[in-house]
Amino acid sequence: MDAGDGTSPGGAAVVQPRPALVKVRAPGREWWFLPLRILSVVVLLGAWQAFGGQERSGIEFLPRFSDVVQGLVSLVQDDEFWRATRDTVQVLVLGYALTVVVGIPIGVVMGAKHIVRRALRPLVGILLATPIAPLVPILIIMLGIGISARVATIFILAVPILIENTAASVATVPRRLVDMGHSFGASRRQLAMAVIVPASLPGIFAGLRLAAGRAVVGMVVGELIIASAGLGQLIQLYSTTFDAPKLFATVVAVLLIGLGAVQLVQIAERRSGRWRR
Amino acid sequence: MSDGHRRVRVDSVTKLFPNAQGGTFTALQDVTFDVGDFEFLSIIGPSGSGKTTLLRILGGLEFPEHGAVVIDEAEVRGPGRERAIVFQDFALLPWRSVLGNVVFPLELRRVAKGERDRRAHEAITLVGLAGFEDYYPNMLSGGMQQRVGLARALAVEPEVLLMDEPFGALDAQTRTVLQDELLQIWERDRKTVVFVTHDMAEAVFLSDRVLILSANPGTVHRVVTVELPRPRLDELRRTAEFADLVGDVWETLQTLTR
Ligand SMILES: Nc1ncnc2c1ncn2[C@@H]1O[C@H](COP(=O)(O)OP(=O)(O)O)[C@@H](O)[C@H]1O
Ligand SMILES: [Mg+2]
Repeated sequence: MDAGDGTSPGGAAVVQPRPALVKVRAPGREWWFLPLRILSVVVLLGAWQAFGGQERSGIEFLPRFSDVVQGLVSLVQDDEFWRATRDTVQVLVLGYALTVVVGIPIGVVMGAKHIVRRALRPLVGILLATPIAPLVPILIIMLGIGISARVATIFILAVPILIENTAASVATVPRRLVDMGHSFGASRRQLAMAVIVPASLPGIFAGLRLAAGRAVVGMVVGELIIASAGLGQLIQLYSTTFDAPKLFATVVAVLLIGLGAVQLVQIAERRSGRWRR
Repeated sequence: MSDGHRRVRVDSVTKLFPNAQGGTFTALQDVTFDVGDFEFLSIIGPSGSGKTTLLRILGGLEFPEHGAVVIDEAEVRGPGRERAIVFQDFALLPWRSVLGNVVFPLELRRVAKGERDRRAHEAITLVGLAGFEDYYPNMLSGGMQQRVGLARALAVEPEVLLMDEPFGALDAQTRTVLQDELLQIWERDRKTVVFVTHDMAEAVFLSDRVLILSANPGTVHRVVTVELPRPRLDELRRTAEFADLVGDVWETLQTLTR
């Protein structure tokens, strides 16, 4: 191999290919970055600890940080908590999977077909702007208080942003790539799978990330309103019994699930993105 | 030299586009010409004379309002296996390696993996990119990217090669190197080539005939036959005969752009 010598075998003037992985220090990766991060968290938690635990009309409205940690510890030892967490995660996974399976194909067709875009745009726009809470009672009437209504809540909240992002990036796939695929005889399906979807991946992943965030919101809203199971039911329980430490601990658990979901999408995104434009 | 039977027939092709005023714009009007078997034909003309449109019609990506393109007695109704296009802007898939880009059309045609890789490696070697199989397009210079574009077209073993200003985006030096290499490849494995360019020296150096289009609407203005001997080597560019032919094409184009 003569990949490095700067000339091609044909003797042509060829630029030296750039090394694939030049390590560039990303901004914010200086040595003091981590200590600073830790410090800011410590200050925040210290303030929380200092101001927490005050009482108003006999009720502790902000538990101390240490109380919340204690609440977390006792929750983690509680089977009920784990059952609720499993239930919540299961609904989230179902709702998100449905969002992906339905959202991406619709987005692709919308981005590729002008007529479909015209037809669906307003609907997607309305869904994007609609507050979800008033819809939940309707979903309950339609689907009952089982898993379906909660999955549907997640789906309705998450799917429009995924459709929107997918469609927008499909619509801007360079025409020359589509022509190229076409000229070599790609079928419709081949064109979609081998050219359009991979070319749109950055936009699709942006949609997946935003949809994951909204799915978590849908999960929480659904459980708070439906409250038949899951962490939402625990939150209801602890708030009606004024068990602030456990309430906060449960909310932290929900936040962690949300963070985890978004993190998973980002890992998938990094895995798929070996190439840069 | 179109001594063989004709391979491509462009018959009274007229192409209209909608214009901004809601009317129609005639991009090509009544364009007629043949391309012989194994002939190297260049199409040159001022910008806007419909060169790209004509090539896209030949490729089956665009359809004429009147007239037809006939290849091997069959009217062109879309892209076909006997043709391959080399695009001006390379049109490489940025997420695929050199090898991945070259095997791409073979994957579409469901060529078996072993055969696919063999043909791709052959084409990659032919364009001088052996050893670069695992590079991604963004790691390559423009010249190397277009070699990939050429290898991809060669890998499908087309009978008719359609090239739209393939070297137009490259610097002058790289351009002449690629012209030389293209001719070497073509001498070894002759194909019918339709080559769009706006570079007169390039058209003369490569071609058996140069078809000159005039603009508004695009029509065949003149066909110049290039009787220079083959194989053509770089030295040819510095001969008087070559300069005369380029001058001839240049003067014709001057009258068209005025
Ligand atoms: N899709 C299109 N819609 C409308 N007008 C077009 C389209 N494609 C090309 N044209 C017009 O047709 C004319 C010829 O274009 P083109 O074939 O690209 O010329 P060239 O390649 O010779 O520069 C130009 O005036 C261009 O604006
Ligand atoms: Mg053009």
